Amino acid sequence: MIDPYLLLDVPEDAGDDAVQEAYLRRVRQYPPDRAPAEFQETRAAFELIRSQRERLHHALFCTELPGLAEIALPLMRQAKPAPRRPGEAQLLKVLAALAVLPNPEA
Amino acid sequence: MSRKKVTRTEKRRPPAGQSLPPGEELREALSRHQAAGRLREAIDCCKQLLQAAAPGISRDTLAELYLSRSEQLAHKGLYREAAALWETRREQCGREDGQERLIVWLLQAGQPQRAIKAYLRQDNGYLGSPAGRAVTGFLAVQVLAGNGAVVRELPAGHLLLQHLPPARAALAAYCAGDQAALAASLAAIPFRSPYRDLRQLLSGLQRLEEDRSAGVQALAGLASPSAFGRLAQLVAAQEQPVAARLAGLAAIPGEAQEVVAGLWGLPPATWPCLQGLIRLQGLPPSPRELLKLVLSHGEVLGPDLGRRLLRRILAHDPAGLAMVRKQQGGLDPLLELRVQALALELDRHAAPDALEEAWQEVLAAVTEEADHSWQPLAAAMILRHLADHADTDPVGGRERAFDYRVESLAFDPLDKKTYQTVIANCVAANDLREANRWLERAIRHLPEDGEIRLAAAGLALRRGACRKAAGYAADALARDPLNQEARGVLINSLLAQAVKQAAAGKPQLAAKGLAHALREARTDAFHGTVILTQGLLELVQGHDQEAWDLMARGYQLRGGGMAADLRTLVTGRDMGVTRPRLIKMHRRLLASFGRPWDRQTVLDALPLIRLYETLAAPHLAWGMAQLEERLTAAAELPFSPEEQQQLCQTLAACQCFRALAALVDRARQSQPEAPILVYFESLCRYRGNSKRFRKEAGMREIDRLLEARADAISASDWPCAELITQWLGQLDYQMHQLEMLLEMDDDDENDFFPDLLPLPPPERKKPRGQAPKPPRLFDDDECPF
Repeated sequence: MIDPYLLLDVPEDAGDDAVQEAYLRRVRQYPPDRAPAEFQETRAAFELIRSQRERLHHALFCTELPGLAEIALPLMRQAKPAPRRPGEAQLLKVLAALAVLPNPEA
Repeated sequence: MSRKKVTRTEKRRPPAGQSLPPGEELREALSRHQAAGRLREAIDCCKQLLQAAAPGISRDTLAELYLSRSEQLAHKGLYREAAALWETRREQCGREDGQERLIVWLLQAGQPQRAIKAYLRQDNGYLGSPAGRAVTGFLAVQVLAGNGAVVRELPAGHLLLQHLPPARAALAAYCAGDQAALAASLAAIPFRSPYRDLRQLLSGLQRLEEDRSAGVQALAGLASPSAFGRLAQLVAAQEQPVAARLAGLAAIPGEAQEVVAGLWGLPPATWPCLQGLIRLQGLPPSPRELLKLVLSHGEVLGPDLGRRLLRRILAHDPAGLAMVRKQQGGLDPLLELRVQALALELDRHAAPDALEEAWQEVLAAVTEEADHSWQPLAAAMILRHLADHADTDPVGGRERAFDYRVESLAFDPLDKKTYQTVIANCVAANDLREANRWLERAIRHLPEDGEIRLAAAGLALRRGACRKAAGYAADALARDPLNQEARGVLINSLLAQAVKQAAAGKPQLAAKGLAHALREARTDAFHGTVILTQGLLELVQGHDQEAWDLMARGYQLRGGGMAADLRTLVTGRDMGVTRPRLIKMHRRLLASFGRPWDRQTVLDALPLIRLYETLAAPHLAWGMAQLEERLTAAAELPFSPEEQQQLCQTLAACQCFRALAALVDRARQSQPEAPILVYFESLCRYRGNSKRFRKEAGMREIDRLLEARADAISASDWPCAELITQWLGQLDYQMHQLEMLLEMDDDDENDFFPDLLPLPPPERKKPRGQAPKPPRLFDDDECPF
């Protein structure tokens, strides 16, 4: 389970309407017929924080240990539109490091 | 060396009592070593067989063994040895095939001179193959990076050197951000150049800056196994799920990770946190490591998320609170208490009392907080959480759970589920007045709720207030005309009212009610039920022909089966039809339209039996007794274990012990260890008679029941544990205890049925003194969980 606020991209103090709006926005992005797994994830997140009652319940009793991908998600979201170009020497070094010969038996 | 010889000699020695000719012995040893993967020994045997000119052994056999051994060594990372053995094979067997392997082994062994010599000997077939392209790509990267050892070995006119200048220029132009120079350099790299993958990589990276998705698509299309293709795939992975991207980063060296993250557009500030995540990738989840990571990188994760993650992690590592306290310079006591309670909840070995106590401390801290909007709801939720825990305690848990739920409604009077549970508990305890009080309160707080109105209708039916029940159901139906449950309750309420009126000698009123019920019916089953009841009303009035016509129609519409039989018998008797007339009519119905019972027919009758129980129908037991023979035969039907248990419960409630015994026997064939069946078996043995049980039950029987109860508890089957507890409760405990204690030593006293002795109610924590105000972490009205 990914943190529902993070998944729906809403702040912790968002009201019911804001949560619903975020949910619908994400459902438009991942409709159930085209992205069933993402839709299920979205739906589960929405159910957890859809009203003040659910939000408080989630805050009080949620004990699921966060996964690494969950922590990495906000970092990935910080990606800028323009990639950061490496220096020439750095790129050559990386290409050399990634140059691994395939197993000839495979 | 000498040790090896001894080993070989020993291995060659035939078992005692056998003497094989030396050739056969060697051949056998060769097969044995080959099958066991001992290729060095196999080669030894093969050489000896070749020297002895053994039939069926050739240089090719030896060559295959050498190649397999080389591969075995390469697999272990011993590339130099693998290449050396390949040379030995060439010398001894005259075979030169498998050079593509040799090239890779030599390159891996750091012997580019020999590798390139072998590479240059290859034909176009090899160079066009995936293996050849991979080696070419590898060499291209080495040349591009200025690896002198490789460059020196290449002949002057080789394509790798010929196309190097535009490749270097393109790389430099991309890194400098010079688009025009990049375009010109890329155009100068021919299509068949060994640097064509670099051309595609750089062009994809350039497009990434103009149109991200087009760039990703271009890069994803470069599937070459070369270093260029690998970098392209990693950069294109930015549109994949986060877990896959993280796994991809974890599989490459550190410097490459940073370059890939940069090409994804990740700002440098995220890099340390990402590195921490990569470090943990593939390791078993460690709350402490996650805690350190989140504490160290809270800023880049954002304070809200950081706090939420900390709450969840701390429940798995409460000792980490000290670390958080130290870093934050203090923590809200409420947060600490909650973490401790959740940690106990996750600890499977924690005592239930300790857990309940921990949550009570949280509750006390919540109620002590200054007025916050979240406070009453939080208190109610904690009380309900406590109730859910208490529910699992077979000794006094139900009472405590009831109290917690009632208390929670004072904080949050809008929770429908809690009302429903409280009302159900009151009904189970047969306290209908209290149930009604809670129901009225629920209706007051949730006036628009159909479910509460249906619960009110159910309770009114139980209290015999059929008209009131019909009113509640009609109200629920008016709010939701498609609610089939509400329609069913309305029809059943009208039928129950009609039955009462018929029994009271008011057939006209009963007929009016039945006509209303018929108007509400929408299915054949309901139509059949109402018409059957209309027939029974005619029978009460002595109109036998009209009765037969209606009953025959209703019975057929109802589809015959157990529900129709039971409806005829029980409702007929409840309306006041005499037994002989009813039995005669029922037999006539059976003879004309009766059909054998199947599994579904029997299951369909269960809701009707429950309805009769709710209505406390006076002739239910009689009606069931009339059907007991068929019910006993129905025990053989293919019910699932859950259905069998459900049926057992119904038969026990209706005191059909003969049918129950047959069903228990059948059920034990598929589930011999089910604790609930031990209970039903005991119930059948004494025909549910507690006096007989008290008088005749021996210690063996009690031991079996206690064991079943323990099994039910360990399987968290609380209803079963409760049933057995109640059944055992029929025994005169005081007497038994006294008798046993007289025979026991002092030390054994506590061992006697300790889990059945009632526990004192838990003491509710008194509100504590003024708690210190939460420091920095939370705003004024923010929930500190």
